Amino acid sequence: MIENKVLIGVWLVLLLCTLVSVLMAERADFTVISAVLVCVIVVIKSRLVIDYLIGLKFAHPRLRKVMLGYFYLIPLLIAIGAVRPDWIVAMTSLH
Amino acid sequence: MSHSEPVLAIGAKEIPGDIAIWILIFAELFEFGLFFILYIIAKAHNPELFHSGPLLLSQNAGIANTVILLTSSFFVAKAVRAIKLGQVIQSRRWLWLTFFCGVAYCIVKLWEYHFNELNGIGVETNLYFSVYYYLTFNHLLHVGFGLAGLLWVILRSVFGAYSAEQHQGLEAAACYWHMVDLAWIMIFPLIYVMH
Repeated sequence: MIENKVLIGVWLVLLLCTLVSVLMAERADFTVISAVLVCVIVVIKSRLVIDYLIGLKFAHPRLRKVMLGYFYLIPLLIAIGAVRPDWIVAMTSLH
Repeated sequence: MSHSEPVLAIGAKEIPGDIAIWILIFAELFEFGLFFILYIIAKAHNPELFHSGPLLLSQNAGIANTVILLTSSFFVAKAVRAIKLGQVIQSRRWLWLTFFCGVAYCIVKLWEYHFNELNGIGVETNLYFSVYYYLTFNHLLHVGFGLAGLLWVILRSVFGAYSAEQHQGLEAAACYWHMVDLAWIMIFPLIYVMH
């Protein structure tokens, strides 16, 4: 069972990560690097929820791998879309 | 092995909730995944709309809902912890707190839609807002399903359905609620942050 202080710590880190994302959104010069950093924050937040709030870190390993895989893959696709939108356009254009 | 043990616990560590809720969770995540891919493609083809769109939304509503959902996920994790310790009443209190957070989320979201309307923003304003409404309204529906699940679990808890030994249904509802939070963790930066 997850310790009480771990749950509180995870919740505080999640709020802190949100604050960092918000501060980045406030910046007028939101760059490609900012977008990649935001994706990294999404991965960190997802992992904290999956591992500690749901408790999959100490549960069925295959289930955890599938969940983590999803929350690595989607932010990766978002980051690719931010860094190389031309690739996405080329792959999804009908010509 | 007793019949009350979860199916996937055979020869491995247990899964939270039961197999049925995880099939549902993966189906929901697949659906959200399609929306996210749709967003990525639409943004790549329309960078100007997706640059200006987030600046017209209420950032405060997005931030408030993020804090509310993260806190609700913490509360529901506490509810599961409490029931595992056999603290039925404390568990129910945490579930009520989770439920109120869900209601608060819905109120903020509906206020946000009203705010958009006052500013002349609707589903057909442009592609960014079509994607915004598609994603957020779909998520709002899932919050509604999660709330119904929580209410059901609270009622069952009142009638003594859960204990330290038997709490599969409560844990399943908690897992679904975490899925709702995880989906929002992805939606929040897409809609409000990445401009």
